[in-house]
Amino acid sequence: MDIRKVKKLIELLEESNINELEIVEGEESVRISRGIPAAVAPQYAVAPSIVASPASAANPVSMPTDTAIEDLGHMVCSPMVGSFYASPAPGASAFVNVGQTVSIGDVLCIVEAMKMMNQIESDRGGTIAAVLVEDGDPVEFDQPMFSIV
Amino acid sequence: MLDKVLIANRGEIALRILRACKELRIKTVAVHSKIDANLKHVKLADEALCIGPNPSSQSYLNVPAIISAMEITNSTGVHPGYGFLAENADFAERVERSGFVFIGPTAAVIRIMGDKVAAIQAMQKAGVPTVPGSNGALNSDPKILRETAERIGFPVIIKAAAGGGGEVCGLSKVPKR
Repeated sequence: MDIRKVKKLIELLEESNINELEIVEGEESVRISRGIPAAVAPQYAVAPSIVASPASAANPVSMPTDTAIEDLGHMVCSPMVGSFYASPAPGASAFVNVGQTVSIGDVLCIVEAMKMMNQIESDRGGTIAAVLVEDGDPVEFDQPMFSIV
Repeated sequence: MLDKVLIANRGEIALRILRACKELRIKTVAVHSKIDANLKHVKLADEALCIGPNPSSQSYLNVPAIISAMEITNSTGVHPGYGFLAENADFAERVERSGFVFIGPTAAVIRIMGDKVAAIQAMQKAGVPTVPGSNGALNSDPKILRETAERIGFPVIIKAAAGGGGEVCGLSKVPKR
């Protein structure tokens, strides 16, 4: 199995509430379980396909715990390559926090590309379940940034 | 000088650049559209990031996305390969203005060579031997055209001032009566 894939799976696990994750692909299988919290910050190469369609037939996922990936909710993905900013200005409080209720059109964050500050609005109403990127992190196109339930 | 190069292309072109970078111990960044996430050059590059959806107009030809990708990956230069943005003078200019290295000719040279009339004039000025021709854009007067063709000698080739890949070339072997 590709080392990057394993890395992405680890990141996926870190971002979720799951304790253990097992993937079987043909003859290969990998099982990742949560131990001591990793010190490594997630890189920007998160696999959006895995996050967005966890239950696809190509990646059969067996869940040893009750928490299914589908519970991660609706993903708000970056519409462009750039830098993620959680707040309107350095030092200011974040646009949204976990647990906060948002409506369609609410600004969730800024993605800066070529010095342009692009405000990203929510395309779904609900509660912010998770913020998947850190302030200042680079984001790629279609990378999940927020989970809304 | 170049320690990290962003490869603004895909497929075998990207692989060729990647190989050259590896030999020179230069780090590589692959950028790709959504559908190309599993291409070989994406897997082999030191870093990879998705810059846009499947249509190349929104990914491989998306100048702001590519420059933004260079910014967030701290790339020093960009290699456009061929096709896509390789002959885009505006792209070369924006790359340089953003403080990165464009691996290829300068914007001014791309502009001159993109226009065949300007290209042959620049070559003659530099003393580069060229095939005999009309030395400029063709006149639409049939009499002058015939004189020009006879001075050059048949067969002659008629070429568009812009465009590439041998498109819109007409060949005339004998003078038409």
